[in-house]
Amino acid sequence: MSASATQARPRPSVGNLLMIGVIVTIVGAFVVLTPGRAWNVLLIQPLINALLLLTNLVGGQFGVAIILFTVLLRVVTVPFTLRQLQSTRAMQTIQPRMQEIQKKYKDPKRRQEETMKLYRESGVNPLGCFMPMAIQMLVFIALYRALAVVVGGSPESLVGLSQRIYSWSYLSEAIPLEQSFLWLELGRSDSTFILPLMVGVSTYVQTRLAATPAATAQQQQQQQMMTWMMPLVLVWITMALPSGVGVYWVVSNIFSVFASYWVYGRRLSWRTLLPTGTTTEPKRPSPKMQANVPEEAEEPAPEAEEPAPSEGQKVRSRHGKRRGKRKKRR
Amino acid sequence: MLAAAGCVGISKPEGWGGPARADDLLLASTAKGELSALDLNPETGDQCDNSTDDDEDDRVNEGCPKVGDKAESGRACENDTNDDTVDDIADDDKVNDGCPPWHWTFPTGDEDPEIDLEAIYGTPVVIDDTVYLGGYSGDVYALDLETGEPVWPRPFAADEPIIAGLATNKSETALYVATDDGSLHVLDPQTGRETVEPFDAGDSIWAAPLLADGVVYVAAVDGKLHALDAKTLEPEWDAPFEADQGLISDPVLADGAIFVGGLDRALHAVDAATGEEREGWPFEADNWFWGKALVDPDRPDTVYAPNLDGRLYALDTETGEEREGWPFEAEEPLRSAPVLAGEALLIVDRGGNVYGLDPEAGTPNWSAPAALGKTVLSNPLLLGDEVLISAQGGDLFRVDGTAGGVVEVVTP
Repeated sequence: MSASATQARPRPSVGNLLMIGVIVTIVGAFVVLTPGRAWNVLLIQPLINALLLLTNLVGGQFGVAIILFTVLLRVVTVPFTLRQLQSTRAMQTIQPRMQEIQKKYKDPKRRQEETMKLYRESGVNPLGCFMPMAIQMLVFIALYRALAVVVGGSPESLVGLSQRIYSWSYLSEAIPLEQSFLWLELGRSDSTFILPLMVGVSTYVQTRLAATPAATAQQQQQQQMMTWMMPLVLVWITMALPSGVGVYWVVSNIFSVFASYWVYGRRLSWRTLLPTGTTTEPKRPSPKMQANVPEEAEEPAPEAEEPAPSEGQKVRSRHGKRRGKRKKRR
Repeated sequence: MLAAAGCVGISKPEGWGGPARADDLLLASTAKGELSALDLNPETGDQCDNSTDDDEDDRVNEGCPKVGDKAESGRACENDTNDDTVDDIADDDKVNDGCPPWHWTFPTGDEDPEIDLEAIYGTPVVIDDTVYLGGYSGDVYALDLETGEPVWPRPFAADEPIIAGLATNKSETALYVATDDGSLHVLDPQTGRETVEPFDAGDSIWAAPLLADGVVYVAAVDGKLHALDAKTLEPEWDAPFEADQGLISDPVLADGAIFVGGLDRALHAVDAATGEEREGWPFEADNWFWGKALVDPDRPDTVYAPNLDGRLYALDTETGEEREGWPFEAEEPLRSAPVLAGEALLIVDRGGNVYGLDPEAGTPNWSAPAALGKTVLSNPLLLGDEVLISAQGGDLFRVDGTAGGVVEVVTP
């Protein structure tokens, strides 16, 4: 078994417990309060009021408050971000073997069995990517909705906002929000197109860095399409939305880029940003090429090439030997 | 993220300009950024079944009720034929049904260059045979009441959104325009040109200026209430009145005091002569006062103030104390101003629920509110014992002030 796969093996860590706790809390609240009310009371309203509080604390600079707020929220959700990236990375390390299984077994049932076996042996949980991402998405959608309410862009939105502000008069002092920030009017779309461009570029970079290696040529094509489509769609959306939302997107994307760098470390190359690259590991051949090359002859992905370890080896690696090596390498 | 962007609509200005009346014409925003002149007395019954201008208003069969799937329009309204066909099959047996009740709509969409008001927030002002309106785009237009054609060679461009309504003085010789950048402009209604240097309030103005006895009162979002000479815009008070937070409701003058509320969740009573707050005031509620207060001339000692906390408060104008039995609690926030229709005090909440109240006791006159089923943020217009309510999106409702029934609906 590869060393990286062993490192990514889920353990009953604080991260796991935290994630489970958050899920249980969210589900419980939604059951007790009903989904709509729980969504508003537990997520949207606190976020809106926190945003107003921050605006007051930074001297009424709403633009600065949006940036600070986005960073703070991203910091709070760092455990989920890191966990997702680590799971993604673990999936990457077993990709060569996944492709081998795809190639070797034509029977879907057998293929599935072998895949599950590989997951078990490698200690990779395919849901490890999904759950942190789902939680993050939930928080980000809530933040986005909160921003949409606060940024507003019309007197009507202020009437709606008045229903969501806590009865602490200090919070109302942020109203009306200072809409001017740099060259932007935060409640209106950016007519200079600079912000939509920034959103597009930062989304492209972030998407490229977060991309996982494709198992098949079809997946690779889909990924490549998404890499281009996502930024383009966001550029188009940002052109129509208040700039405040665009500011949030740019800051959030930049944070994601740094998070990727933190996790992938030296393995991350800026060459992956070039349109021809497909994964976060620049030297890895494309899956199509891999399909025609014997595994032994493959270009590095060194950890994946190692033979599967014995149970004893697995235990050792889980307890830090390999982790120690990785740290050293870093 | 895409899902989030797709699911969440960012609110765009729609406007909450209330309707206004000019003789037999009703001026109302029937669509976002549009003003229409509707016939207040459209043809009805047999009058619709001919090609005659029965009510002699130069319009034939205007406002005849629609009965089928397809309404008649344009030239089809000017004959006594049932022109309604859907796929060449007669749609109904009525002649001239559904002919539009409006005389004109501005902008028409055919202007070159294109006119885009974005949204209309203030109630239009009518002076003689001209109607004035300001758009969120920052442009002020003067339109001929008969034709809807612009009167000025070019609109007055304030360059900043106009959220506050326009105002005129008693002699109707000046038009006051307040903008989102805090400027108060005074225009000549004939030419659309500024007559004095604009006044800078220092912060956004969302409330319509109030004119009384040669003084214009302007409330600003920085919490200041200014009293200015209506001609020169020179300050009348030693210093403006200053609230803790923004003043956003249209000020009202009654019993020697200006009643104005705002973001500080308080309704203030400011002495009109000195700019000092009255003793016992302000009155504090649970949310912002954005709706215009009402003082009934027959009950000058009581001010009715709607609040976004969904309550209508009745307060003693002298002491600021709540009247017994009040406040009245509506189902939704109150942004619209209350009106007195006959013996009933009418108020409509954001959810479109219209309540008829006893002005003394504050108790509902009707067993249930009249539900319009639309969002309402604009101020209603009193038409005898009825009120005309303009909902977001442009639907117009006539509500009977006595019984509470919805009399008529005009859907644009």
